[in-house]
Amino acid sequence: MSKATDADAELGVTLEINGQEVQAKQGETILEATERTDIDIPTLCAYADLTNVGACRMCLVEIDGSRLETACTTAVQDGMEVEVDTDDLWDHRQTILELMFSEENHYCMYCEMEGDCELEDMFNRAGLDSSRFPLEYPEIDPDTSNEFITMDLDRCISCGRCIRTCDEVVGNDTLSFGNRGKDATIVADDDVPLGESSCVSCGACVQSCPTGALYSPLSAYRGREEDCDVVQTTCSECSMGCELEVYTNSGRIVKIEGVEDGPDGGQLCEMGRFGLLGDDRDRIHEPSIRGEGAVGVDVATDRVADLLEDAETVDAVASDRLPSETLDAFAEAMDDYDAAVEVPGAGRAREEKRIARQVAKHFEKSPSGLRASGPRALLDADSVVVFDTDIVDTHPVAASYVRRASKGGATLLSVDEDEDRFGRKSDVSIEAGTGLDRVSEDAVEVVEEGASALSDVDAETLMDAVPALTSGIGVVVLGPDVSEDTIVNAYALAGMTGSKVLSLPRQANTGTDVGTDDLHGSADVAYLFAGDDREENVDRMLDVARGADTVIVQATRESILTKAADVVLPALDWFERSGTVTDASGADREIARVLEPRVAVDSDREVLSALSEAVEPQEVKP
Amino acid sequence: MASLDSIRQSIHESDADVGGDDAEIIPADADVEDVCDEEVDTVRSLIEPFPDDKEGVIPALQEVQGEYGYLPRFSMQLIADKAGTSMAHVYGTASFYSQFYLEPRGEHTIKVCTGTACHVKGADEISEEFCDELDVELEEVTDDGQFTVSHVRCIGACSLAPAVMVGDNVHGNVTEEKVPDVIEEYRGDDA
Repeated sequence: MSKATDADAELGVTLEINGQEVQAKQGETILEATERTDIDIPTLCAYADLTNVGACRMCLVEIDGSRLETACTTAVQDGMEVEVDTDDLWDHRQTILELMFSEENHYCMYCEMEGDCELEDMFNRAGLDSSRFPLEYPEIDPDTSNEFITMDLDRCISCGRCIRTCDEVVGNDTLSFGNRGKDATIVADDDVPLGESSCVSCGACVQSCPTGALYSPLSAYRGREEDCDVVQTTCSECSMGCELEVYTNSGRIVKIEGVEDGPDGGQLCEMGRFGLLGDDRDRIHEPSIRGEGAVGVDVATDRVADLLEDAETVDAVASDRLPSETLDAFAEAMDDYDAAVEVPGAGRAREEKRIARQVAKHFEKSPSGLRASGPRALLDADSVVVFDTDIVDTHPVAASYVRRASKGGATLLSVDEDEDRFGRKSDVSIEAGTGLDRVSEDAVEVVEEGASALSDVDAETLMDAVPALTSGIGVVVLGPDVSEDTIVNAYALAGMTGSKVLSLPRQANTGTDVGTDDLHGSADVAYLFAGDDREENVDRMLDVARGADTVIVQATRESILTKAADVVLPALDWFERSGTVTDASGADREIARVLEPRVAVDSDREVLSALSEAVEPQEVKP
Repeated sequence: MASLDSIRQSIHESDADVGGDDAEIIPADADVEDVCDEEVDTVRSLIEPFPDDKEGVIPALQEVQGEYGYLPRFSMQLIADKAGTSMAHVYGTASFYSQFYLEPRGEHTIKVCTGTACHVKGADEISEEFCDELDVELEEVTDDGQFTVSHVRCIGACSLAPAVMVGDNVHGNVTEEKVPDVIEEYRGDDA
């Protein structure tokens, strides 16, 4: 309710809080009004942009010397006199805190969150060191069924932040309150273990939990927040480019959180929050040459330079998750050896730019006018069409925004060749047996000619659903596996209806212009810069490796690729790199070094420039 | 879970092909995929009249419980689908109200009053006697699917303590000796 406040409204309401004159906006809550002041109203259930519900009663304030209200749900009024810190109010807060403490099993000393716990802080702030009430000792089994998230309701105060986060931020609705009164508890789906529920393990609830009721075993007992260094960087697992807040302690990563007031609203996915912590493939620490074992960096780069120089043909492939600066250095180095260069996945972004230009010309618009500014554009949409719902797996954060749009009242039309992954969130699902390009073409026809003679079985559904695009704000989402025809149709659809396209290629860094060559296919030497790419992403590189006589691999961790290599060069991991990547919406995002590299090389670019320098001066062509 | 033929039988009495002698009660945790199409259609048609949003959840739950006597998991999935809400929301609603049951119930619930007067006059012994006689625990259903014994707060019949309610009938001054008679009154009665 309180979040409906118009951000641009003027400060037209004057009230007094703790004797201090405060200016507020019409419709704003007392709690929101104090955010512009140094007055600190205690809260437990309020969090970031979540709807306020007044559940914890910590923000009780005294209004006009008589009535008590929760500041998070009470709107400001002109001339209101509010007291926040009277003895009477703190008496109430103490009692509530003592009841919270006695109701569940809060044994702070043994809790992972001790030191980072908002309940403990509040207990201290209220001047409490014990509870007057006898402890209830309820019997609670911690739920460890999810490998990333432990739900230990021994520490739960039923503030409902996790439920609202799952609903309002993730749009997944896995969590709810079950039962009633004193027995009320957090449940997943119909009270099944979290690991067997519809939970997508994004961990947003872990980030919002004020106590130790939801925590990740991957981060547990690795250090309190105050003992950690925090670095902001960008995730390069997909083209979303989510901002990561990485906590480190004693040279290791403790946990990763989203940034609530950042461009992504704090939402991350399982991969970004947990997967990055748990890469247990063996690290490549130093260069090695087949038959000779580990060698020094100089020896290895000299050997690589020799191999490249002696080769008639060189095929070079680099991972699309590397920063643009590194990819440029790669292209430059390979160019010195006349290599054919490819960045798998970069084709899609290039193709799309060309399509957008042409479609835009047709509709007398600018190409950028056809593209959505980012996933947040979905929140303002009246209708959303998704081609390829696999974004639920490949771009989970974008999927959250789609679900939120649907919950916010947007009409959601999902088109997929298989099962619609948005399930009941979709208003219309089309299982496109005939392929996405056919359905997207039909959609264009529906807009163009209205009730035309569509032969498809899906025609009727399309006729009902597509017109929603033409009224209000529409967004067409393109998943990772769509054909060129579908991309053309999607842009055409956007051009005709005034909608925007949100394109989500698999490729992590969409900003590179590197990689336009056709590879030789069976070259003398293959140079494969895999970085920290995972097994499923190195298929293309494996193909190239199979065709080549000699294989050089620059990689972070051991994989099937490094086993096939004649020379292996170490590469940095995601948390050691620095540079820039471009996200799916075309915005540049910074990658910052989180930890110093602990391998033989300090920078991927150094290795590449050493290769460039090793080239003997070429004859200048006349 | 014990097989509860008779509930299924009685539900489908007019529907000779469905159910039959071997019909088993649908387990509480059966998913939509686990039950036959007829059951899915039955639930769909039951909940059809209600609104396609959260407002429709409670009347739909009541309707389904009216048919099955409790809320099997698959019915809650169908209700969530229809109302465009989550399983968590439907479960949260169903578990909030004491009128909804998430486990199979007997056709007749024997409600033993445990209000102050009945308690003093030996409600506990009466309730134990019912359970022993039927060979069930509290809130469990008998193997033949006919009875569930349950405790309720004061039913307002203190002058008849200890009192027991079955359906809309009140049985007053119940003694341990009378327990088999009360049970017999309802046994096999498929009203």
